[in-house]
Amino acid sequence: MKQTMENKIGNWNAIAWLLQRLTAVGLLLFLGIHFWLLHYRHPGEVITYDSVLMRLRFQPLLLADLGLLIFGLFHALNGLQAIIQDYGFGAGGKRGLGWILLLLGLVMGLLGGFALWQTF
Amino acid sequence: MKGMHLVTREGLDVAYKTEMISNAEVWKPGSVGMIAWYLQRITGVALVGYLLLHIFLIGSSLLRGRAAFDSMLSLLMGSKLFLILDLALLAAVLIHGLNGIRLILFDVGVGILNQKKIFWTAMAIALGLFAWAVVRMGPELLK
Repeated sequence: MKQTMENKIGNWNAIAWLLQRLTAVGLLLFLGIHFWLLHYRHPGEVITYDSVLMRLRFQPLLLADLGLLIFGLFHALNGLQAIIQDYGFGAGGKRGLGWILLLLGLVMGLLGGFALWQTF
Repeated sequence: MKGMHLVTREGLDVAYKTEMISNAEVWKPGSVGMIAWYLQRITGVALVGYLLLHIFLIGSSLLRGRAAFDSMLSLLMGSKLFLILDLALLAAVLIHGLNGIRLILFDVGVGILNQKKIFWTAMAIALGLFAWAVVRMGPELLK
């Protein structure tokens, strides 16, 4: 059966809704690790390039930061879209907003992803 | 079956009017549910701004190498203002995260009738964790 545009948007909204919850749960873990290691384990200590290399060479912590990057960007930009749509912009069939946020997410994700990956 | 979809504003309205959640008072102006909703939204927007700035500053300086990264980080982290902003960031994350757990509980059908109690419990945990962070940060703040 051929899907109408409305159905497609409805399906995506349902998936986005679910992903917002799933990324939220992931963020509790990834953000917890990130905050503890970088902000509260040694309060007041300035982070250096060498300490970053040392941390990210340990693969689970690199993966935790990559997870934080991807989950964080999705959760942030999808949440932002929901808020903007609440005020009547970019809702329904107007999908420009979604594409702009997707592009922003991809650019930030690539920047963060390359930055993390090159330390490895 | 509008009343079944409690997570939408319309659904909550229907549920409220049909007294499914008459004690919850979620959408009443100034109610606990409304305060929670505003807090989630305000902290959410602030955290989006922070995240984008954080990825841009840390990511770009990390790509430019050791010297650029170290000078950026000593500029960002080398002041008491940073420590205070760091605590403000933690406060936003704790409010958003713990209230977020509350919202997910409702989504899976747990606790909507006790939403006020769950909100205050979540905020009490947030306050406890925040106090712990202040104590850890304290010696640095007083230096």
